Amino acid sequence: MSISIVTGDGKRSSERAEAFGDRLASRTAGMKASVLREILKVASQPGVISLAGGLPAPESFPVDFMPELIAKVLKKYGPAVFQYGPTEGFPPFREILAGYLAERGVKATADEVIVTTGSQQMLDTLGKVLISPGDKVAVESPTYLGALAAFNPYQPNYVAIDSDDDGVIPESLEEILAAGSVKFVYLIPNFQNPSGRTIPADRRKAIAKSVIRYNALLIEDDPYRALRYEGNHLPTIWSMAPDNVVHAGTMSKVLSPGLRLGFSVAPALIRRWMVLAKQGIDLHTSSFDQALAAEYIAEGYLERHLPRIVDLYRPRLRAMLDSLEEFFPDSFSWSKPQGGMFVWATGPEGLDTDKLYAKAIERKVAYVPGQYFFSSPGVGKNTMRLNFSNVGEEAIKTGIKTLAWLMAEASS
Amino acid sequence: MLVGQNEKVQTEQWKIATHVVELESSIIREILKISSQPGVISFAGGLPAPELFPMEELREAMEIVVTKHGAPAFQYTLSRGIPQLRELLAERATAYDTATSVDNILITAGAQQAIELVARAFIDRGDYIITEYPTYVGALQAFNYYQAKYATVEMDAEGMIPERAEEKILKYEPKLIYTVSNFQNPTGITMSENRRVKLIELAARHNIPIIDDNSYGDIRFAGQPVPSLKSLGGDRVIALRSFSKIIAPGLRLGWMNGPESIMGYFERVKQCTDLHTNTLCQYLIYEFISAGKLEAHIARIIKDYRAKRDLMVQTMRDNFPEGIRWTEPEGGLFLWVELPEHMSAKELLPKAVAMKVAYVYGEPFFPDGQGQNTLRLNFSNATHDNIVEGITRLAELLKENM
Repeated sequence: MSISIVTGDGKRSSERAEAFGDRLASRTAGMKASVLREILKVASQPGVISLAGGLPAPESFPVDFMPELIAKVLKKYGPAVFQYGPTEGFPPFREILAGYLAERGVKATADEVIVTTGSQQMLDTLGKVLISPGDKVAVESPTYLGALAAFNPYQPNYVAIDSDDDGVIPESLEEILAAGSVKFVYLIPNFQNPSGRTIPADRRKAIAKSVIRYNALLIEDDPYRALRYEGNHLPTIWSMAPDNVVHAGTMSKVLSPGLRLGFSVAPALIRRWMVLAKQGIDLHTSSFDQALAAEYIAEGYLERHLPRIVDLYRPRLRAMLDSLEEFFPDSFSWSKPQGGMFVWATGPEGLDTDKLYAKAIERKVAYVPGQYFFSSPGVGKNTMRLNFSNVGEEAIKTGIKTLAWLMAEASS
Repeated sequence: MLVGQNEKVQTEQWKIATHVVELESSIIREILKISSQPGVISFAGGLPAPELFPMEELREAMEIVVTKHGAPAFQYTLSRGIPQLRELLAERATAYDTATSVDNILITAGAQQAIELVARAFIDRGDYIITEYPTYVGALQAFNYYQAKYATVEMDAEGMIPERAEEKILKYEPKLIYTVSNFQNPTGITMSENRRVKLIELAARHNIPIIDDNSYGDIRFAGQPVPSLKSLGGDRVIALRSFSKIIAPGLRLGWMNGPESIMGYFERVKQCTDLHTNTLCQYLIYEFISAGKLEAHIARIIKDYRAKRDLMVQTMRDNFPEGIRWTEPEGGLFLWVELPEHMSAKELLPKAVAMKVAYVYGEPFFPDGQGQNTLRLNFSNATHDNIVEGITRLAELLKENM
């Protein structure tokens, strides 16, 4: 027996299903399709030079040594990589991460490391266990869009920390923390998405002092650390305030974003709550992927792979900065990162990069209008994010040249 | 002694969100920790038998993924999942359930995440959910965060009793009906076809979505197949499915099949949660199924679990004292035991662990904390020898404590 239409009221089941819409939770019913998604969709049309995305270059992926790595993993761990595992993470991966994190001054035991399904899940679980509606969350201005997306369903109120070319201004953070009742501070200290800015060592010290003084909680989201093309690594904020900082990293910018592997070290209380939340969300992160990443680090693949990625991206960043210098109008300024994936350009007041987007697409170049990265509306209309990791040098040059022409026309 | 049970994390330093403070650590996870001590024969987990994992087939599929697909298998992908796998699942759902398109399908990190996405998308504080009594504890864990309330419905051998369900619907105006319709976790009970039809009629009359957590439906080793709720109810039903029991749980792959009009919301919620499910394992499963390996593998699982269930049930019949009842499921991974009313399975567990055998006591599966005299036994994970030995130990314990 089969009944595809089940009601006696004459309506077809599909019509009635629309009614589920009014059963949605208030947090969901308010979720609109993201404008940025539409922008990225347009940007991925064939023939468009896309400086809009945030994707690693596919040619950076470890396809060549992957069969070898997979064989090693299957031989070493056997069926365990296909079985359920602990919520906190695959034990050998946590063990190896502890050593990996120590290199950046994050000295934790394996038990203190938790694995998440990408950094995004770290942000979501922290939002889930920390934010009650109306709670204050202090963010950089601009800040990472995915973090806003993760936090928004929990209905925080954002406080924007003032920033300049060196990232957040410690005095501004100090003032915000002094005012009290900030649930947590969210920062990307290295090669920030979207701005490309890096917070210098002395500011990190000041920030660490502030969070200790006010016993605040700070999330140090550090996905781009490994992608440094020039200069020296800076100390993590965690290393200066371990009891107040959640330090988070990812395998997405080295091994592969598709594996969805993030990791964090958090104060014990926060860590336990994150694990509790994660149990209900997905039980644990893919054991197989964790085993791959464990061997990737342990067997020296990362060490050999990372220089290849750096060598791929360094000339792309160079090409972008050189082209901006050569072609962009004098009324523009832009960040000059030593790593990461993004450059941030700021035009003259009155420029509206959102409005110009359609014209750029007509000329087959895409970027992300900067206003979407600000927690308050109406800010950053004259800014844009430019990605260089997923485009070759020639295309970068062509794309920047075209944009320069468009920007000059619009701001003249 | 059980550690961590009913534990509340101290919140002295940073204030945890007010709605989270009430959450408790998963009792089952704590029991699993204890039962994984060396020498303990554990019927506590819900783990598939690792010796059945299709290692060679997965290795071959992995090789194809790397050589044939290359870089895209390692890149970010769509929040709904890779199109190839979604198309394949839509085709299979069309063949086995009801007409399904790629737009009905969203890939999740296991069925657990599918439940959690449903909770996120639908549940406001204080909303009621209809559940079976008892029900899957992982679903309660996912729903609890959103401060759901439960309108529980008793079951008999045919599953949830529709008349009871209707009473609860009229009284509580629930947001959702959540059921594990096939070989339910924890009881092993399967909803009869007649009951399915009645439940769908009820859901239609009151315009309530049915969430069918169908993680075990493919593992039937006895009796006649029953049409899925999805095949009977179409867009009335959001089906939650999983590869955990039919391929491998460690890949964390499941999927939802729901009405097209609602899938955009799930997509957005999924994006905020973890962007998308891991790409490599999606390609892996796609190639595994495309190579025609799934059906033969399910057949192997069925054969293995049937023998284990038969052995467990026979050992129980031969050794358990009078006055104990249990279900004899036609599929899945679990059976359910009811001790005499005065007995507490929770109090017996430390004694059982001392005798090197473990189970999960029933209380966590009851939203109101009842069911003191019940326990769940898993028969998929232990070897034949351990099933006989473990059940014999359990029988001894029960005899001593009757």
